[in-house]
Amino acid sequence: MAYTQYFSYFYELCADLLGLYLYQDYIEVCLFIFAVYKGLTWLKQDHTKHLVMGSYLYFFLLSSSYYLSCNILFSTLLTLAPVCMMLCIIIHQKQLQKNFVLASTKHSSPKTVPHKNWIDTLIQSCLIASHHNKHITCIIERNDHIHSLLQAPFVLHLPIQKSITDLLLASNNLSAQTLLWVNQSGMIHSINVTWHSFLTNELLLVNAKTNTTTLNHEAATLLSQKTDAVVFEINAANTNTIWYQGKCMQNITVQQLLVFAKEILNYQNQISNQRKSDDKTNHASS
Amino acid sequence: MIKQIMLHHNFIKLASCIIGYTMWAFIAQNQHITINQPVSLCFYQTNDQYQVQAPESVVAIISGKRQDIHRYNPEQNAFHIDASIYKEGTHQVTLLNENLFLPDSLKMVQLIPSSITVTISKQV
Repeated sequence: MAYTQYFSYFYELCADLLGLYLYQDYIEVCLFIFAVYKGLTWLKQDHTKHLVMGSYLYFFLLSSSYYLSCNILFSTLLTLAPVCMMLCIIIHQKQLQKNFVLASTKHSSPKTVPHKNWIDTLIQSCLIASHHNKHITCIIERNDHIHSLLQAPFVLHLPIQKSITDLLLASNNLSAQTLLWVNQSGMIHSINVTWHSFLTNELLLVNAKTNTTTLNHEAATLLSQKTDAVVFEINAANTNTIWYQGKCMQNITVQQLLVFAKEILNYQNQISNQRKSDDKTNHASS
Repeated sequence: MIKQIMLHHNFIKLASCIIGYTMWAFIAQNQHITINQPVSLCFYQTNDQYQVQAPESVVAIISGKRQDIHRYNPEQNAFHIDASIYKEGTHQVTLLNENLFLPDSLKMVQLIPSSITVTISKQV
């Protein structure tokens, strides 16, 4: 009885305030909200162009023109809305390709679990390697696809563990100045990675005089700008560099680098999720 | 700071609700809809010596543009029936469109029930 009364109050409130009279109206509004939400979250994924802010602005203009009775502006904006959406898709096409065209090659969850503090392990191993005159630049792949920007000689797909990373980075086959490709689950994708020719020749226009350090800097900046990948470089002089969202932080200590990397990778959540899953597994096995 | 707030996940959810509803409202405002609306009955020119017994309200099916229906306030409207034409006894009164003062933009499609039983008796 009480539920019916509450339902009746709710219905009256929605009818009076929002003009929702029929159950079809509720379905339509829910679908509109869902579509807008999906659209905005999709636009948010593009870190290079702030299309979400543009969408807010367009909507603000549209609603302002309606409430201020600027009829011509309102009808123009409403009519041009599909054109603007198309422009938005064109501007956003790279992200669109990443999300849909390359969606089939997204990472699967690793079968082998990396070390819990894999980022600490990785940085520690890189630091040790830097003391052995090996200049390592780590690229942590996150949600965005970076296969088109990097060239891997082989695929390892190994979990980051102290013994494995030490072994790999101490290898004689490892170049003195190299790129290490890791994903955000803590799996080593490949070592001795090089920048893809598309990136060096078409996006950066590198000439023969460009040295490796400059190339790495420019390529890392571009990679972090175009994708959500995190790039860091460790050297023995403790003047490390990290690139994220097109920004470069130079001359930071290893501790600062670690804190920043963990913050970006939302490391705490990852640990807690992993612990929860470990607890569940232990509980199930016991 | 503002930009960070505006790009926050929860803000996007809130903004989606507002934008989604408003977009729907923009499109739906000129849509023709039909709704069921209870309308109360009001007897005028009643004699103090008599009492009138009739249903409190009837359901009117009203059609029109959504924005006109939204503007229309059914609580300030009622079926107006002249009680002076009815003598003591039970009467079957047919309700007509003229008895309900609707705005020109709205149209009454149907009434449920279309006729009511009115009993006029002497006050005890």
